[in-house]
Amino acid sequence: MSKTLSILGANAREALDSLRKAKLRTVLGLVGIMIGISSVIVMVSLGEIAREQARQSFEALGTDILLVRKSGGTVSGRPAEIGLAEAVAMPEVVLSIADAAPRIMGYGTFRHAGKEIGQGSVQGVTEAFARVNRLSVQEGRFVSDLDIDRHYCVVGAAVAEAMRQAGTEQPVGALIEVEEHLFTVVGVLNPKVESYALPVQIQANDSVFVPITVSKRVSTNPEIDVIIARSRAGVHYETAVSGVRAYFQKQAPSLELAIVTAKELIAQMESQMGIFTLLLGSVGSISLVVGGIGIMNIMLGSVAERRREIAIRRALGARRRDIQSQFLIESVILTMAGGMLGILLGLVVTWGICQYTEWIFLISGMSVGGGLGTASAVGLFFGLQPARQASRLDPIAGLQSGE
Amino acid sequence: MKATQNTLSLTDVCRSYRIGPVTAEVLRGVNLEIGSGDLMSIMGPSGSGKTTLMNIVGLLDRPSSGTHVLDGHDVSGLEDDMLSTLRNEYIGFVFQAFHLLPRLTALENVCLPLVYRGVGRAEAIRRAQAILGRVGMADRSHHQPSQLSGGQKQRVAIARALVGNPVLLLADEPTGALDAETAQEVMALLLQLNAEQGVTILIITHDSSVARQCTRQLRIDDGKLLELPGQDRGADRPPRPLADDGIRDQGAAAP
Repeated sequence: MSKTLSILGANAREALDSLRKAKLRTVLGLVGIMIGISSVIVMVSLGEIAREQARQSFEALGTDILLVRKSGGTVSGRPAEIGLAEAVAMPEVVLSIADAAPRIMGYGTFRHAGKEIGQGSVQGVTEAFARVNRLSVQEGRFVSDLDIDRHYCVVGAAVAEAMRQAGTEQPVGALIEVEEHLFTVVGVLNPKVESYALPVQIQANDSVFVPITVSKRVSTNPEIDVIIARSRAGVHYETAVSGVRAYFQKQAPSLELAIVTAKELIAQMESQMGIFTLLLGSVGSISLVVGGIGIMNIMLGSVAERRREIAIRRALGARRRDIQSQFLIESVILTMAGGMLGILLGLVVTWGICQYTEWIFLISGMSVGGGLGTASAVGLFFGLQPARQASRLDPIAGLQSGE
Repeated sequence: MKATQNTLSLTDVCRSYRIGPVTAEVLRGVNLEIGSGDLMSIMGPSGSGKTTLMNIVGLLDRPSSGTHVLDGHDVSGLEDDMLSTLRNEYIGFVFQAFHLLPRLTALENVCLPLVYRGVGRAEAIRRAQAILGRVGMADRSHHQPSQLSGGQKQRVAIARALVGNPVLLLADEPTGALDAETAQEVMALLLQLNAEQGVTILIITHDSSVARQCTRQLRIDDGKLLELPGQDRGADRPPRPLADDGIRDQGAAAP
C-alpha cells in the first residue's frame, strides 16, 4: 500500500513537472478543457441566476399571495361562477384573508384620437387590485370602488405613451376607445417590470383597467377569471386556503375552486428551473466532451511519442499498473488544470453577462465544485484508454525503437 | 571458485517466435551459469540471438521452454507483475543508447528504480547521490541528460543500474555509442566495480576488445551459446564446464 502510494506520489510530481514544461499541444488541450468547463460553468450559473431572479420576483410579489380560480366542472350540473359580491366581501368574512382583488379579463384594440394605438388586455378590477399587485399611479388615480358603472379607466405606462405619440400630451382626462366603448382616462400607472416566470401575468404596462362593474356589462366573457388575494401576516398558507374554501362552500356550494399559493408556486417554479439548469448544463457538457476527446488525442499522441520512455521505465521495474497510473494522473492533472482555468473564465464570462443584462451575479458552489469534479472525471474517463494502451506496450520493442 | 549458489542459471532454454505459419527458433537450448562476482561477456553477430538472450536474462522476455533460475528463484513461469518486481530488485540495465529519461535530471534518473520499489523520496535521493559519487558524477547530479557527454551519460546509467543493489548488471553494448577513449573509461569503471565491489556483470557486445577484458567470454551463434577457454585476464581461471551441445557445436559455429 505504501509502495503504491509513494509511486503515485512520484507520478503526480512528474506529471506536474511535465505540465510546467508543457508543449504547445498540451496547452491546446488545456484550452479545450478550459472552454468546456467554462461553458458548463456559464450555463449552470446562468440557470441558477435565472432561478434566483425568478425567486426574487416572487418574493417581490409576496409569499402571502393566493390565486383563487374556478376549476373545470360544476357539481350539480348547475353552472357556477365566482360571484363578484362574494369575492369583494371575502376579506370581511374570512379572517385569514387581508385583501382580495377579483378580475375579469378581456382583450381589445385601443383607439385614440381617431387612430388605432395598440392592443392589450382590458382588465375589470376593483380598488383592491392596485394594492394586491403593488401597482402605483404616476398621474391621476386608480379605479375606485365608487366608480360603479362609470366608464372610467386607468392606462398602463405603454398605453399612455402610445396616447402621447398620437398627440395627446396629457392622457389623464382624455378619451380612449376600447372595442367600441369610450372611456375617460382617470389615471396613468408607473411602468412595472414583470417576470415571465410569474404565474399570474398582469402585464400592467400594456393594459387598460376599468371598473369591474363595467366589465360585467360590456365584456364578451364577463366571468371572474381569478381572485388575487393576500393572507394576513403570520397566517399559515394552509389556513388561508381552507378559510377560502369554507367560505365559498357556504356561499356557492356547487363551485369548485383551484387555489394556488405562492409557496406551491415557488416549489413548482424551482423544479421547472431545475430542469432548465439541467438543460443548459447538458448544452455546456457537449463542449466538455469535445474537450475530453481532445485530451484523449493528446494522451494517445503522448503515449506514442513516449514508447521508449515507457519501455525504459518497465525495464527499471515499473509494473503495468504503475505506467497506467502515471498516464492517468497526467491526464487528470491536465484536465484539473484546465478545469481550474475554466472555472475562472466561466465566472468572468458569467459576471460579464450579468453586467450586460443587469442580472444579479452569484457564484454557485454547485457549479464550481461540480466543475472541478467534472474536470477530473473527464480526465479519468478520457485518459483511461491511452493509459491502458501505454501499460500494454511491449518493453522490448520500445527499447529497440528508433536509435 | 564456483559459487555455492549461482546468480543465474539457464538450463536448456529455447525461444521461438511464430511469424505467420513459420516458427523461427532464436535460442536453441541455451545453458548458462553465472556465479556471483562473475565478469563475463557474450559476443555474437547480429541475428545470433544475443538480444533475445539478453531480454530473457533481463526478465523482459520469457523462454518458450527450459528453466530460468535467478538467485535461487525459478522465474520461468511468472506473471508480468512479478517479473517487473524481480527485474526491479535483481537486474540493473545498461544500454548502448544510455536510455536516460530526457526530461529528468541525472539524480532523478538514478532515483527511478527506487521509486518503483516504493522507497521514500528523501531516502531515494540520498542513495542516488551516494551512487552518483561512486561513478564520479556527484557534481553533475542536477544536470539534464542533454547537458552531459556520452561518457557521462553512461556513468549516470551505470549508477541507475546499480542504485538498487541488483544481483546482476546487464550491459548491452555499453561502449557501443562512445569513442574509443571514453569507451575505455566506461569499461574501466565496470572492471573496477567488479573488482572492488564484487558486482556481477554480464556484457553483451560485438567488440572483441571489450570482450577480452572480461574474465569469462562466451560466444553465441545461431541460437547456441558456448564458452571460450579463458585467456588474458581469465587465463588463471580454470575453464568452466560447458553444456554438452555447446561443446559439440563449437567447431561448426566457429568462423
